[in-house]
Amino acid sequence: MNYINDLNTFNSIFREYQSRFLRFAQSYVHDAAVAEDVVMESFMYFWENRQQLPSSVNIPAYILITVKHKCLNYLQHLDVRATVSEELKEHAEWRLTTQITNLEACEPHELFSTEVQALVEVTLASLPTRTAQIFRMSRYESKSHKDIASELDLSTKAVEFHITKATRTLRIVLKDYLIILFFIYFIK
Amino acid sequence: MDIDNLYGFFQGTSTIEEEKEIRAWLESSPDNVRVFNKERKLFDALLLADDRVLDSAATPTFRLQLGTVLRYAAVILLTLSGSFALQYYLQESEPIAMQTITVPAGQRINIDLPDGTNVWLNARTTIQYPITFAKGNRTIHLDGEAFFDVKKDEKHPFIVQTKKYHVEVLGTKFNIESYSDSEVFETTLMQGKVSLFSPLNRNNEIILRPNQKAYLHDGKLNIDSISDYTQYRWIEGLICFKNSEFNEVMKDFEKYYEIKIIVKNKKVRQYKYTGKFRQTDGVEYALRVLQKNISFNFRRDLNEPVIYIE
Repeated sequence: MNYINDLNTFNSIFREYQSRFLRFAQSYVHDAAVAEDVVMESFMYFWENRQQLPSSVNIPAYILITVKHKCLNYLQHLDVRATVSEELKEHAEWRLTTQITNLEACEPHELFSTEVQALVEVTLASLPTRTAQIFRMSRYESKSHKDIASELDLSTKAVEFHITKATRTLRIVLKDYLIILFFIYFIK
Repeated sequence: MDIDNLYGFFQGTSTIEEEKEIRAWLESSPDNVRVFNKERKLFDALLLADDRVLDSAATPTFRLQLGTVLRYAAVILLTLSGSFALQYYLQESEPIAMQTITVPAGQRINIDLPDGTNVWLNARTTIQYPITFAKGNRTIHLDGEAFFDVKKDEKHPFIVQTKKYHVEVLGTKFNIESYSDSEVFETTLMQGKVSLFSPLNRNNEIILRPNQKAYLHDGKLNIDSISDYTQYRWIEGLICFKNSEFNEVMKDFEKYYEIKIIVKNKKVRQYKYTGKFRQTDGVEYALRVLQKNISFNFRRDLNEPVIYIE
């Protein structure tokens, strides 16, 4: 009976988080096939080790941590190919190092805390219809500004305006979050 | 620099020219690096969000005003109880540089940590600590054996993490042994007070008083009082033993010299041994001294680091 419960839980977690983790992995490894493998392996790793985990574990954060480590492992073993010019190779190496540094600094427990997620999602839900639609096409469907413009019969300038509006709103909400946090921290 | 340009960089859709611009911008000021890192975090948080909420934005009745969103933000904040989100935006997320020191087999060293704590490190020991202790705890990582003389600082508990158990102290002198390739875990307190706990279960903690030793046996931590400090004279560079069995002495040598000793000779086991050696004299010298009083032979394996006692 426990096995069936586990399986149901696993399935709903998989459905809920698979595409999010795919987006995350892809943004670091920049290779769709690798991202797919990493995410699948991470879910399987959780499934195979689920009995060893404390009952209070935050499952999505745990899987995300695995995703992070597998991506790091991949990036750290990546060899920058010798390109025609030394300058291009050096640039590619700088690029890879920047990715690795960003990924190492990433803290799944922070990023994925209910508070941060709630704020982001409430903000996204508050966007005007058009802005929300364009933002989704850009960030979550990975469409280029040009493609979005032609699909919605708008100018690229208009598309950029909406996207900037969305990111600016997010920064405003989270910036005030920072000020309130600071206040609470002082009270403590 | 238009911050939205960074998005292309994160996504991997930027051109080399755009990347070079970003690189130049980053290298021109550390403030820009901070902005870059914050934008990356925002980008990551967005990627991980449930994008289905964007669909609910389709109905105008559900649409919220920005002011309302901020009020929601305040409510969410006031209900949190000291969680990660607080650190998330408060601290600059530059990773703290760590210093790692490894002591080779047969040697020992003495170092001072950034807070003035003095540490003796025994052979085959690795210690890892931050270059400066930031606010909060003073946490270091240990694999091996060390003797600590911790600088007292009640506001900042000093925590030693090992693979098996963690030890938290306030201002004390104590010895910890926890080599990752051995099942032994021992902590002995000379002065002050320490608390031991497993990283998996903070609630079960053990408090040690001076002259007490905690050791792992059969998966549980036991406490003994001790009065004989000869085994801690390694900080003077000595390997000491008192009324020890032959196998115990060999186990000590294995610990110091990164070598495996296989005792085939049965007669040596019946006696107890007392004595001391200088670590730096090496294992063969020690064995030869022992041979003066006990009859046994030893030979080194040609390929592996193994010594056979026959």
